[in-house]
Amino acid sequence: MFALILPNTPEQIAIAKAWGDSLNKKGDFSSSKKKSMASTESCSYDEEQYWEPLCGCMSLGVIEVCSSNDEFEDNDEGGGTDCHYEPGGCEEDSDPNEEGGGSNPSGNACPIGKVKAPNNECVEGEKPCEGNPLKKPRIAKQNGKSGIGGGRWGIIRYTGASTTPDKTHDALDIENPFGNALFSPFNGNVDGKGYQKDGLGYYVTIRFQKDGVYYLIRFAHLQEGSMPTNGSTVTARQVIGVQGDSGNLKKAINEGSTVSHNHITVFKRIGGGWNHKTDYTSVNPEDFIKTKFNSDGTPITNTDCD
Amino acid sequence: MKHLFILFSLICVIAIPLQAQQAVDPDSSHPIYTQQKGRNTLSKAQYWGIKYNGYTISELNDLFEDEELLFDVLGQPSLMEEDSFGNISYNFNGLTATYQKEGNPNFIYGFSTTQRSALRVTILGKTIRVGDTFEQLIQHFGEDLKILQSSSVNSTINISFGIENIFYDGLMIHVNPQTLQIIEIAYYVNT
Repeated sequence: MFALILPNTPEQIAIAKAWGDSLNKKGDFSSSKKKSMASTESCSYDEEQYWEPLCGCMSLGVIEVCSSNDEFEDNDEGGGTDCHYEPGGCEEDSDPNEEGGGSNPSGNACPIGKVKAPNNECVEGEKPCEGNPLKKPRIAKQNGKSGIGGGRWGIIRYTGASTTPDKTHDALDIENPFGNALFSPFNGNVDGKGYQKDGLGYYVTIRFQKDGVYYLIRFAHLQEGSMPTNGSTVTARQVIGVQGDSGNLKKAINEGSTVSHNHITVFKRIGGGWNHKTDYTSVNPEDFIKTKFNSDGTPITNTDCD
Repeated sequence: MKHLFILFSLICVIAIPLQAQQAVDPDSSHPIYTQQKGRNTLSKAQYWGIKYNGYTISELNDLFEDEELLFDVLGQPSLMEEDSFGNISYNFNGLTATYQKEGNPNFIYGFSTTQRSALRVTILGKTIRVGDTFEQLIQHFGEDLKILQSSSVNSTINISFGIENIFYDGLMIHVNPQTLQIIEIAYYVNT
């Protein structure tokens, strides 16, 4: 219910910001442009937090008053994705991957159990270890004959007839509930984003390097607008999108063929150029993520990314 | 701080009725809600015999492989976008489709429409289109027609057809719970 009534359009945010300004003046906080993030008087991050205009940190995870156009300064310890509104500007930590810091006394700009997505919303999720897209990755099985194998790379799913092409599943399906964050397993750059209404839905592709070779890792079925900007640098464990059901996934879930999951594809650069069609080929994502699975899909090493 | 809570309460008082107005409860006593729940399963021959604008999926896959022939049959698309991996999204007069060209072999990833004139689907010899009513579906496929379990009476009523125990792909029919008319028909390959 809270999410429904909080401002989320630019106009609503502008009104909220102006209102916050007026209250700030009344509250004589004007001298605190670099107010310590440790000041807890104006920010509460307990259960059932409310919006606090003097701080601007949306502890309910719905909006962020600060924008990238505002001035940011980071004079607190640690990183975090925190951002708070001040009468004369905003502050934001520069390293979204660093633990702690920011206006939240608990060390995270979002409530416990949530992380900040590229669109500045706080979403469910727990930072994984480097090398994993999720803290506890589990293969999403395909119901029916395909089973757990149907969620793995290189498997030919049962089509039921020879009149259709035998399609190899060229991705790894990792379970992830709707609305939960996805993390970049590696340092890299956003290589591109796209949308297939009748296929992958919203997707983002990250280019990374391993042992001197370039790769692309693509995450599909994301929520619209939840991904970082093209060309931006991403670091391992950084949120790179929010799980959605875009493309064909919603139909598959409704039909009961699978559960909410992310369709992760890895492409290895094999050519001399950068053309995705001609210079890259699909490879097994399981060779890259840190958690390893046995033949029946049970995680066997780094199971919880500890 | 008191100001905050007063304003917060005011917003609550205003916002909650507005939210309630937006959600119109369908008639949950309608027989559609007493239909059996589940996926409608067909034999392999019946399922692969489903025709979309007169073509089976197998025939459509061949058609999409030959773009010249595809345009001869379906006309020039109003939209044709190729992504960086070579996959192509089309719009043929309201019928959107994605043809997957990465990997091997190429195949139709899915197509869908919300427009009556864009697609005729023939299942077991009965043809359906967007705009048809649930009663017509019952007339075509009998009282045993199943609907998918829905988490909410307000959400779209979904009817799917597939092969028993095979979830490679499916045909999904979306019915508006208020009007009880088909609002979207989609073929999709599970990703």
